[in-house]
Amino acid sequence: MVSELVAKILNQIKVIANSPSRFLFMVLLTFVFGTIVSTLFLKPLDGFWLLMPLVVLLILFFVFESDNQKFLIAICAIFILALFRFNQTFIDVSQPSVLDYVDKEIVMSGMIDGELVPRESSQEAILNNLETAGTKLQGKILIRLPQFQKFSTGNILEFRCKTIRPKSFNGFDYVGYLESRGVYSICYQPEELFVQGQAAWKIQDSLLALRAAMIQQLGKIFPEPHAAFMSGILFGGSQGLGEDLKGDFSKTGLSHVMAASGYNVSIFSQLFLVLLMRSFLGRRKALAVSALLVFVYVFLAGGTPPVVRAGIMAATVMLGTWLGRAPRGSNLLLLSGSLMLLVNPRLISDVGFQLSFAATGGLMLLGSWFGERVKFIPEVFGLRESCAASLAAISATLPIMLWHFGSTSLIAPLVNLLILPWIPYLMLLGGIALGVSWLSVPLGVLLAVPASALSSFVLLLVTWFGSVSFASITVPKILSAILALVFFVFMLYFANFKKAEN
Amino acid sequence: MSRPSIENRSRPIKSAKQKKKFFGIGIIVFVMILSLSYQALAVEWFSDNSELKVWVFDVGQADAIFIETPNGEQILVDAGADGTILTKLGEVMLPWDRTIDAVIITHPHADHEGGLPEVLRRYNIETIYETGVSGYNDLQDTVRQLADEQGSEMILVTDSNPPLLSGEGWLASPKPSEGGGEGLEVKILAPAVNLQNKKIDNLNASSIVLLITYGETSILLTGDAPIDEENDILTDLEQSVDVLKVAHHGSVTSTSGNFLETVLPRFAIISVGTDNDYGHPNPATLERLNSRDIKTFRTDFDGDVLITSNGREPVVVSRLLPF
Repeated sequence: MVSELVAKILNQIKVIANSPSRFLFMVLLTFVFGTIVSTLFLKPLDGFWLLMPLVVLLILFFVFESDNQKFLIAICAIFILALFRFNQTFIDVSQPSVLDYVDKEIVMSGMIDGELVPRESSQEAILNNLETAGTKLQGKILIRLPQFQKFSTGNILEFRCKTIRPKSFNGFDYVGYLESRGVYSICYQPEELFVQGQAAWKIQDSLLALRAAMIQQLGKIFPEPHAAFMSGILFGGSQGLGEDLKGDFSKTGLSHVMAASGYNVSIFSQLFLVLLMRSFLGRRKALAVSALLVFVYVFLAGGTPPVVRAGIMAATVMLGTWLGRAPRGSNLLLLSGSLMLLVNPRLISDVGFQLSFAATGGLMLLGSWFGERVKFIPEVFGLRESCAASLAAISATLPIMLWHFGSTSLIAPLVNLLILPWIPYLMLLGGIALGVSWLSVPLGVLLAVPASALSSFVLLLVTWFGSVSFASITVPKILSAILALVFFVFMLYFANFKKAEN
Repeated sequence: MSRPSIENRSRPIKSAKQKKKFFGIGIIVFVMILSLSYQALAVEWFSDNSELKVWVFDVGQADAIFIETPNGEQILVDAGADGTILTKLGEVMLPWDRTIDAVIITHPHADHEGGLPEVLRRYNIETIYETGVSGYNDLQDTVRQLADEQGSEMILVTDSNPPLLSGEGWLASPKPSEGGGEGLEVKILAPAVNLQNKKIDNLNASSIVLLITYGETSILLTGDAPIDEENDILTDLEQSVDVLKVAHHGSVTSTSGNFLETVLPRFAIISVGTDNDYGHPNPATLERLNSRDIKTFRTDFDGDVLITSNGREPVVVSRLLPF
């Protein structure tokens, strides 16, 4: 009995080891699995204890000859690599860090890293390269700056402040969210604040400046709330949208549209491809240029996890086409996930990251199954297809939504179905108006009118559905945890079931 | 058997795909027209042009009042605390309208001037009126810098200023079509002294107080004026007013019983945020209004409030803007 099982497993390993794409799949899956294990169980370790086995495994990899053995060694090595990378994200307590100065009032300096985010009566920024009295500190801090003073990315600030540790609220894991960005403490009221200098110019800075300029230009040609909505769907900058409207978007399960999600990236990359493939560039150059444009767009859209995920996937598909190979969907998804986790393992606890991967995975796994079951919906305008896609993405993200927020939108499938088809047209009209406005603002204003009209229609639908009393339900924490677990098990079972079908 | 004529044959044959495409474009255009008309109806873009319209916007715990004169000039009195004002302006102004004729900042508190930098970044403002009193440096510097960049004129005012809008003023306003009386006039009742660069303890007491009259209609906008300042303007008021924008979000330190007895408003509007930290409006203020049978609107309950007048008695309604 046992020997039979071992033989079965060995056979399975042989199959995997001999198929490059399955081999890759297992390697990537192991890396993601290793990161999940780390986030749940790993305590800070001396890196040596992980580096040693890694080196040993690497040597063994070349000693052993059979594919099966090499495969097993590679899997172990990848697992330890995941632990090793995660371990590196812990703050080294033997070196000075921002954690040493929590709840103490000190004078420090730091550089504004990334975007300034406007808040109700302040603006928020993340400070990097922190120093106090000549000592370099590990970790970043979040700082609240005066609302009306002008700051920009790369400014080096000096200030006196008593920093505090962040706290999670309303079930939202704020601590985890900040730590995934390397932020360990917060300065709410900096005093004696002044700009000391400006860090050297970086390519990211100019892309951020370009993004800010685009969003500002949209504000010049579109009236609100359409300017904020357009910048949301084009560049993922939805801060200008009022709290009420934002609430309506989340109640109707549409927040992903506002966040410049993978959906926007896929629309853009398709547009680039269609336009460039027909141009004088020729097929191969067009693919390369499109991949570059996707890369630039990922930056313009704020480089949030869903956007990076979609960007990597789109670029990989283009590369695959260039090489004449179509990559497997599941590998593509895992590849982009693993790359992102390799760079920043802490992303694993980011809600946006989780939702984006669940939605895409759900689409791949459940899309066709739902397609079979919604045959009663007419096929015009791709309605049936988008309905199946919405249902697949929503069911796959449901456990994560319940786990993090304890609430879920009941009308999300319907509203997504009604709203999503308009988004590409809205992006097209808005993009044209924005482009023209760089030549002539009045002409841009005029061209923005039809886009505003369409945007009004979409926003009215969102506010109407958002005001429906049963738009979203809140589930008690324990029940939501159980439900999330049940759903997760169901998904696993389903994945298996589908494999057997194939 | 007749042969098909040449014209018939040469007519292009629309494929099913093309038809579908035209159908799709048709639907999009239809939806655009539909939503534009809805918005036009909701905010009366194209209503009677000889009307005075005054919107008291629901911008949370802040003040923002938008005046559209009978000849289409636009004046913003205070700009709210933040970008919220932009949504309101975006709804009541035509989508291609990017200019505001005048902005009056009653006093430089963040809940009255805070939204102005955003407004200046989006709209061309011809003139900005303020007292020049010394307020929060960051905010005032930002406003002055932005105003300077786009070439807005900054005018410092006191109550000795001539009315901003009158028959011969810089924005000549026609006389009302009905009921006779004078054309639109916006008169400054306070402050009484030049406050340029002065530092004062209570900035509320520096509030610009405005009296808007159009035919038989009169509207008093009081900023955040406290009781002392309210008493000072009583001497300038020759008649009772129809609509009072209650000072300082309904705080107990404004709107005294004595003031109400003299002003005798029929309608009062309180611009106040839901669950604000200040406990505005104060129950005592509400009681003072209530006991005098003054119909009171609150932006936290009633949303945006619209005052319209064709020169006779004004009509005051709660009109929720779509967004």
